[in-house]
Amino acid sequence: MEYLKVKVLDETGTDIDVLINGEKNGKIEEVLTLSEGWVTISVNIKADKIELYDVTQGHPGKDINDGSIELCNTTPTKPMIIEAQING
Amino acid sequence: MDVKGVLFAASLFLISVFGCIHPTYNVKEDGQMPEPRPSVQQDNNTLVFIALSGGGTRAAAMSWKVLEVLKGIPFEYQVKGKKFSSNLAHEIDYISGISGGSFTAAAWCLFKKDMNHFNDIFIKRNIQAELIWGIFLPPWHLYKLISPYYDRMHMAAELYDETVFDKKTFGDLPSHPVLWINATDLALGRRFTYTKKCFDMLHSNLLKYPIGYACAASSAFPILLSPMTLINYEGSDDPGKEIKYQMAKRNRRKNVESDYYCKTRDFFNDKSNRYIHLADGGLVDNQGLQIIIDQFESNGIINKRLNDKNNPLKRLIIINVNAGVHQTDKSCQSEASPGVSSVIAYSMVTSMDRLSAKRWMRIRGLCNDVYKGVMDLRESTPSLSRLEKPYTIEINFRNIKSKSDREKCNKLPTSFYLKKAELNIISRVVPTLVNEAPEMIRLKKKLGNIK
Repeated sequence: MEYLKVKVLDETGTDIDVLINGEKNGKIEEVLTLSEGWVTISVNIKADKIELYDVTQGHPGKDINDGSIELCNTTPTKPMIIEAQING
Repeated sequence: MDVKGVLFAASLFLISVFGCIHPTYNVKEDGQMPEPRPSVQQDNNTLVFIALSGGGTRAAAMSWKVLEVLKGIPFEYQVKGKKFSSNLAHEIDYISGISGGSFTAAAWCLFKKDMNHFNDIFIKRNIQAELIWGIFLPPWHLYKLISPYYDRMHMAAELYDETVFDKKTFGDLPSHPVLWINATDLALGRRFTYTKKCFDMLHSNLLKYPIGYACAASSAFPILLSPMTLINYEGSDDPGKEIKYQMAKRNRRKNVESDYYCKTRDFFNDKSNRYIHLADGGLVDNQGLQIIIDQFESNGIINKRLNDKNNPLKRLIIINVNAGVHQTDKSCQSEASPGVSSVIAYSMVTSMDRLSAKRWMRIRGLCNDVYKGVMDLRESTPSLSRLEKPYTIEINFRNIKSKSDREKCNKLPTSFYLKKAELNIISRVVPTLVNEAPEMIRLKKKLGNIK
């Protein structure tokens, strides 16, 4: 079991959906529970439209490649922190 | 024309007329959406899964009795301050069935209000004798078997479809609970579950597929019965564009389920694989547990609920109804080589039981992992703030305390017929097995049913 927290830079709201492999699963600023392995992360700023955000920084992520990350060796108290920034 | 000539002409006539009989197949997708079905009042803070194992009528009868007992366990909850009274059986959200257990699972979804009827038309009935003497052997049925596409399995499927499930299809199922009937895809050697997702991969419409046929596939034990065939239809499909497929490809070396997912998508996408042949679900998962394990994976139902802060999960309950029996094999007491039945038992049944036991241990391990996370995050994470330690309830004949009853149950055969006395002993032992399961006692205490 792996743990992840997604933050959106310059965003004050917290009721924003996180998309794991394109599916809504949890909200930003919350520790999310996921299984081990590669996933893509994006966030949905507008309720009626999925706005994809690039992953800009992962900690303690092993690799970042085209917006996907590999979750491994995280703990509830040391989740991977993802900071997302709007495209362009 | 002499006698030989007449026989030859008659044979030619029979082959030409009946040699191309085809059984009922799955139909191509046509964009049909399920009819809106009324929602069911239930506790949205509780997620209940139940897996009903294989084991012929023994499994069907055991699961039926378990559901009857669960109906008698009060379950009260509140929504916005208003109290609702329910029972544990009504709160089941997902029901997974294999082989004999798939019949009870399907019947529960279709005929929940009148399960006594199912008891009469399936559990108490000598299905085995009907199949052999009424369906397989009578000469007036043999003409169908001239066709290479039609087999005994299809005759059994028709019997279940017409006399057990009243020709109901997946489109007739209510919205709640969700039914998972599991079979084994012989080419891939993996589980095939009758779900919309699986049928979408075949470009086929699940809603029109008869439930009796799915149960027949789930119980098609190799050699005794032939596999059930599904058509893999042509359709526009490019799995390479799916994020799930792309990520599964990256994960396939570390995660066997990701590897299976990729193989399945590739196999179904290859249109030279025009047919999918399904056999007994017990060959790869005799307790219907794997599909529950999958729900812990990213984006599985359990995973999504654990991350849902708007509707925090309070209780996760997983019930494993295992109708497995432990019969002593005496071949080790003799120098003579084991007979065919012992070899089948060693090579198939024993390994099936071991794999199932591992899967149950895996579920318990995952529940423990979830709760460890809850202990660390409860204060800071709203989605986990209310979650009680998950309940993993196992109902198994080996937990019978009376040695005499345990021995009687372990001698119950795996067939589609049990004698009245054999059914009676199942009805007698199951209530105690359910009510005295340690995890059930813990749940009942939390529900306020016992102090």
